[in-house]
Amino acid sequence: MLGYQNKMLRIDLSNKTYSTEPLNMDWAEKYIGGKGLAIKYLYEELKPGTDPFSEHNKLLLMTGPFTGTPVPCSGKLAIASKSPATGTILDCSIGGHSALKIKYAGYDAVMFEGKLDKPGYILIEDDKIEFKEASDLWGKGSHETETILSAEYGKEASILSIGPAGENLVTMSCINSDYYRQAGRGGIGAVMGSKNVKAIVIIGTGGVKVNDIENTTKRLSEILREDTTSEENMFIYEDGTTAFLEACNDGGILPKRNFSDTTDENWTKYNGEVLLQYRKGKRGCGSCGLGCGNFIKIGDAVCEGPEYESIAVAGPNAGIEDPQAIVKANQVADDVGLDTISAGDVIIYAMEMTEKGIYDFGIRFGDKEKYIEYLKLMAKKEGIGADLALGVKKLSEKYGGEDFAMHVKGLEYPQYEPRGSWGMSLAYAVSDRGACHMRAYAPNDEVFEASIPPYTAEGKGKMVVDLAVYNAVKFSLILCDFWPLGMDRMAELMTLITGKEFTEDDMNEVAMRVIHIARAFNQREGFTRKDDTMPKRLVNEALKSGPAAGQKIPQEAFEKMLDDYYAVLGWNNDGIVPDEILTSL
Amino acid sequence: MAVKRLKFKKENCIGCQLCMQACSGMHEGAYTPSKARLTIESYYDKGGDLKFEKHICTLCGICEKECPFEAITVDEKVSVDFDKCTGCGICAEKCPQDVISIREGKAIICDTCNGDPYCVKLCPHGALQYV
Amino acid sequence: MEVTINNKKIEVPEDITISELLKYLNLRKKSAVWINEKQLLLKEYDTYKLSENENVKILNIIGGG
Repeated sequence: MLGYQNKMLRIDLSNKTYSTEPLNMDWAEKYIGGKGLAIKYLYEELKPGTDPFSEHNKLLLMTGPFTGTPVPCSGKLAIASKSPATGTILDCSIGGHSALKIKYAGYDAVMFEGKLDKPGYILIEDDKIEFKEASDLWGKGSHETETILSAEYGKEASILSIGPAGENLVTMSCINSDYYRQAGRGGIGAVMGSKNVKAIVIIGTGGVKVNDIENTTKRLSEILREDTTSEENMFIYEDGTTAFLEACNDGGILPKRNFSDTTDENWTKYNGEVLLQYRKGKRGCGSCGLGCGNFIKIGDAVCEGPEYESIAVAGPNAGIEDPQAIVKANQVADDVGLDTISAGDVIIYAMEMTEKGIYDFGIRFGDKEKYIEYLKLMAKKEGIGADLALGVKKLSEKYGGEDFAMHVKGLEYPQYEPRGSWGMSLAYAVSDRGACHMRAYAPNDEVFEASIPPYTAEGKGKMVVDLAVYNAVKFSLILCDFWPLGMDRMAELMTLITGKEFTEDDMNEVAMRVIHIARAFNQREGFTRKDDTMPKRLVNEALKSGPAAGQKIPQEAFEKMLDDYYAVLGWNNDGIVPDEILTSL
Repeated sequence: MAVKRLKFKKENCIGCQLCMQACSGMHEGAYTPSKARLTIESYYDKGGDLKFEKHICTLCGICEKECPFEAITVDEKVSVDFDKCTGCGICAEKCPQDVISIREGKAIICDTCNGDPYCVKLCPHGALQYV
Repeated sequence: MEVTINNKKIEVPEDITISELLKYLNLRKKSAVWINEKQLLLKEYDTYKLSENENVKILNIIGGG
């Protein structure tokens, strides 16, 4: 199939050697690339019970057949491993340009195995691979690291790096690129840190061949105009993800004070209208047809962002209203290499614990200076940071407040309140990497489109499966979230680029395989229905404000949603994928 | 009648480099930005400032003037006569936009895709225009 | 008749339904709609008829992040 380079680069960090091998094209036909193909490789190559920090864990960078071509919004890179935060399979999606550089260097994927004996960085320059010393970079923030390496290798080099958080194996640490883009969740940065890899520098001067390139390029220019940049998609270019603030606040799902309530009457102090006044420019990823990135400067707070999640967690969910503080929190988290969502959720849990007098973490809602100080301490595991770095699950097991420790399987809750969108509680519970909003995006159907009533368990099993199917195949192609293309368009693009016929049914089949294999990986690690959970706060406490005031989710309703979800997928009532499906994967 | 030229508006540029992919796709048989006949880059300078670098053919005509072999003609576009071009590289050296490459002994210069530039067609928000 | 849409006074045909309004404004069929601060369900878009001076908010977004 065209579009692919038909090559995987395998790097043995322990022995400082490398080799190339053909990409497994049987698997590529079934899983395409990105999320799906990465999980397939790790399912086959990782033994159950592998310690995520050991040299036996692997770090896999996976592109797709569209990467490096003018298919709009095809610039994302899947980075996958076994999660140190949860012990589940973990796939992240990072923007910027590194996906394209990997493809132009001649590879579909790069697999990192083993670990370096001391801190280093890897240079991939087309077919030249070098293992470099990084003892002078170790300890530096991601931003300074990128500046130094960029000066040495030039602007065309893409640089993936970790900050001190990844070096210190914080299970909330991320991998950075282009200064302000992340592979954020599940502790992916800590896997890189456990391998003593400070950075990966990628230079690619080659190209990508596709089917009938001149006609394909013509067709892609039409698709860019008629579909990608059509009026209804332009909000993401005009406002970025700040657009979600208004929709979520009005829809009753913007969380306040560690998910204790929703709807912030002061949201106009930090909303899109305010933040975008400080916008200095726009940026997108490689091959982007939209351009969601807002480059914002308020005083000394500089960030491409903040995105919806980062605004909500450091804003209303922390009792903070100061837009400069919100931007600063994002900048600091990016630099020290922490996931804004998880790190933020830990801090706001700590705020509630302190306010309630259960344990004094020394920080209360609204304390914007301490929020930023605590991010730095967490990255270094220093002082109170040593405890906070444990994450909300382990921290609550140690000190209490488990009812409002908002996580699933040890991955902290994204910023959509499920009592205002019941299907989201299911989506968070069954997501393959712990509580994640990017596996099944329930607010679309329950709030933004209002096509399905939000405060009921009825029909949510099927709804979450349908949403999960859409994202599973989309992130395997791998395309960006913000182009809401139909599955017929996905099939058209696959046919156009690879030269092999793909139908919408094929896209559905790929999606189902990806959902099953991710579950199979976790099942092999011992995960069952008992781990698909909902925090007790959602059962016991009704929301007080906003359109969803009075709402809480009865445990029986949650169990019913789980029953329905498993049934639609053909799993048993304990959430186990049956053998007939396992053998087909 | 005014000659059309490529123009760049950085306020509309998102740094996607679809332009460079389209150019190389239409001329080189593969999407290879390193071989594109224009270069546009957006980057964060030390993370603190968003900057742009652009190299596009503006039909200034300096390559035509400097070519010792009269291999280059510049009217509505640049044309290189490969029979006369020796790959000496003087055009590349003198080009103020730095958009000329010498590959396999010949000067490779933007030809505006014969009056219908693909870089413009693939630019999402009109940062590149042909006016 | 005159209604307010996203804080702007706009003339629209009498008795226009929400579905027709979205088409009239060139917006997605599945936009989020609030009438006088109460959100409508999608299934009501075909039947709900706008009245004079109603306050309409329309949000047109999709996706995650």
